[in-house]
Order: sequence, then C-alpha cells, then structure tokens
Amino acid sequence: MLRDLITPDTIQIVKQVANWEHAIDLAAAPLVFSNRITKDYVNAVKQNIHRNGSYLVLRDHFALPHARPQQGVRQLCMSLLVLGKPVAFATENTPVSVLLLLAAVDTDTHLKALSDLITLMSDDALFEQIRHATTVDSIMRLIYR
Amino acid sequence: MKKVLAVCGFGVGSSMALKMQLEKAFRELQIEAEVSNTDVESALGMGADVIYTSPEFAQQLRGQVSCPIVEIKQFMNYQEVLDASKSISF
Repeated sequence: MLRDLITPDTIQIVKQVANWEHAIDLAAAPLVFSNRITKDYVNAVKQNIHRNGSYLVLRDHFALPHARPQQGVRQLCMSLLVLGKPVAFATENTPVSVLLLLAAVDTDTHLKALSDLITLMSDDALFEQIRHATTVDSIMRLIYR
Repeated sequence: MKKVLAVCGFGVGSSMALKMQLEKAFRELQIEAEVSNTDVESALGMGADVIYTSPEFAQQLRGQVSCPIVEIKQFMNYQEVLDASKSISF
C-alpha cells in the first residue's frame, strides 16, 4: 500500500543539490540508512541513468529513478525528494524538481502503490502543489487527501 | 485485439507509467488493444503489433523486431502519447 511506502521518514525537501547524482544519493539516504536497499542499488540507479539517458524523467520536473530488484533491494520501498531548485537530469539536462526513488522486489508487488502515485503525479494542479511544497506535512496531506 | 508493448529498462517502473497513459489514449481513440509492459530484453521475444518506448531503447530494439516502434520521450506526458497514437496504423 502507498500509505506504508511514502511516510514522513522517506519524504525530504531540499533547497538545492549540486547535481543529479547528489539528488540520487539524498533520495536514497533514508532507505540505505534503514537497510532497505544497499549502496550497490544506489550505484545501479546511477548507472542506469548514465547508460539509458533521460527516460526516467516521466513528465516535466518528475523523475522515477530505479534499477533492477536484484541489484540490491532488500525490501520494497520508495522515497520522495522535492527540490526547491530544479536539477539538470542526465544526458539531456532535463530539469527535475521531484524525484521518486523506487526500489522494487519483483515486477508486481509495488504496482498498486506505483500506479496510485503515477495517477497523483499526472494531475497537473496537484503535481504543482507537491513540487512547491515546503513541509513534509503538506506533502503527506497532498498525497493522502 | 492488437498487442501493444510498453518497454523500459527493467519492466518494473517507467513502462508501468507508459502503460497507464497508453490505456487512457487507446480508450480515447477507441482503439482496441491489450497493453503489457516489459523490459527491453524480454520485448524481443514477445511478438507485439506495436512497441512504445524511449528513443534510447528504440535504438536498441530497431533491427531486432519487425513491428513498428513508437518513440515517447516522456512516458507520463499524456498529450505526447495521444498524439503519437493518432498516427499509428494497426
């Protein structure tokens, strides 16, 4: 369930980052710290972005960085990072302000939660509010209206 | 029923987002199609009528599959998916 996956401890709001790799490190930090993913997984996510370009930017300002379940996921988890200042993402320098880091354990356990989140992020008005949110509480309220 | 594949690197995340937009676009365009999502390697053996994927993965697939490949830059950009689907002939 989405409610079990996006929680206050996996939502972060940061004013700005040095580059997209820094953003991935930050997004991954709570998941690495709580032992839900390994550092190998974080590196695999970066490699995927390096190798396959900007396809993880799913809409303007929104990216879904992830890698393979076998590359270091111990438990299904997600984290949300909101950037005050957009970061240039990958090879095409697409600006990204909201990152949803996904760590799936297989091809289907996460699908309901992910499709709920994608539905939320597809809503332009709601996405703008999430993108400009300044507190974790307000993001929680927007996601779980 | 036409078989459509939404393809990304691992078949766990991005292709799911693309599949959702494709299903919506096909409903709007009244195209009857079954949309599945998968990773770029599995896509090679799945015999689809049309494949939707990113420009990077399209390059990897081209020459290895016989069906048309539609390039989508932003998988959650409904307008892009809809416009690309208007010009596709099944």
